[in-house]
Amino acid sequence: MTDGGDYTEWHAVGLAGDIDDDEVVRFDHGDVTYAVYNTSQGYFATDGMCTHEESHLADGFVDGDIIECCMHLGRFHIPTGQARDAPVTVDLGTYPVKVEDGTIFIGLSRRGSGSGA
Amino acid sequence: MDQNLGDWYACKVDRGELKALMRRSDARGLAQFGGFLALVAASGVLAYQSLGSAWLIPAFLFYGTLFAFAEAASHELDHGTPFRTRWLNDAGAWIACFMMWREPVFGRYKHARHHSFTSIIGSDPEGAGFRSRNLFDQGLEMLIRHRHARLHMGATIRHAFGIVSERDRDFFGIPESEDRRMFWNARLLLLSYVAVIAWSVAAQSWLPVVFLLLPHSYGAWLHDLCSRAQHDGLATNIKDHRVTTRTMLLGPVLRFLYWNMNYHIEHHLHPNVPFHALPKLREKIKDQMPPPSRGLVGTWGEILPALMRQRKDPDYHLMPVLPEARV
Repeated sequence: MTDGGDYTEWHAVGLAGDIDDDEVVRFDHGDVTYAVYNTSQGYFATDGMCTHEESHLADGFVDGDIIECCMHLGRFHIPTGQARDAPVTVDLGTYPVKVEDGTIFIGLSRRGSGSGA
Repeated sequence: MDQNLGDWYACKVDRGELKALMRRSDARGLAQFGGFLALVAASGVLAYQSLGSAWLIPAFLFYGTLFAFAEAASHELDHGTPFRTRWLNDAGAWIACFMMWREPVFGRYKHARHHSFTSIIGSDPEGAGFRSRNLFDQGLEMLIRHRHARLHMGATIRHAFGIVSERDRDFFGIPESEDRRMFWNARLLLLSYVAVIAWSVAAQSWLPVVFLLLPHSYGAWLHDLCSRAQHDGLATNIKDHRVTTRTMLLGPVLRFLYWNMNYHIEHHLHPNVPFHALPKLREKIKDQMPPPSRGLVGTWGEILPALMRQRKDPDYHLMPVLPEARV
């Protein structure tokens, strides 16, 4: 499948019902970790590691459209990956997500990483 | 020491239950912070009414002692957990930081490092590993907060003049992108202290300074007895909060003033859990924790002999009995 001229590979993350409302799960592909969210605005995906220090965002707290890291409580805007509150200052990479036949897919570049951790 | 956060001990707790505990509440935040400020204000009225009477010293000591628990408020508000609404956290943090002589950006990065390197000697900027071994100096800090003043007011003055030290950058990890916010915060904070001093001069009265600037010093003792109990006398250089950090059981008055930070192992394991949910977190994981210390006096009964012994044997520390060792 192509996406804006770049090849995008779609990878199944799990069934839509597997991620509770206002929840985040970890998805590993190769040696890169991603975070996939179920929010009231829909499903989203970002880099899986906090940009402040090596901490998995999947262990964090989803509050509306914000993910709060579990280690130092830095906060990111989930849909855009924007760093919102100290100690995070570097944005997260974001990735396309789609749901087909009840399965959630994350779109990764053909080289498989984007700006992931 | 490497910084692989995954190496730290993690307790087992159901994700759904943990998520429920992490929920923030503006109502709980307002009740706690509003209640705390109301208590401080009421004790301030008592102190004012004691002027010219024999009650002056105990009344101001009472006021200052309550006031100094703004450090516990500032800690929670800096974490951003008491209120669900972000600006309420930020506004509350400003009030508490003013009371504590602490600029919020510097304080937040310094405290983040404490959470990354809890009790790792040479890396933790707070906690037991940071302290002088000199008991006189430690006692003086408890009474007048001279080290806190040097560190935080020094940073505020430096940053107000746009100066960032190598230590700010390399040790505390403050990125350049935070400089502008930190500089303006520092200027505002410094200006507010100058305004209080100017008020005192204009009114030819010490009262504004004594009520607003100095209570964090003359009232620090009780909060310091609580906060020093978080890590003092315990192990260092071990990536397990259960042996470097202490949970102690306190009565309801101290728990309220101290924002439940007596559940300190639980706070370090899950900093996202707000103050009001820490006792519930404790209940869920207590079978994985060492036995808690009991009461402030009882806890210091453990700490003081350990501190005395550490003067001669710096490697000595208390070692709590972990559940896996009990079976």
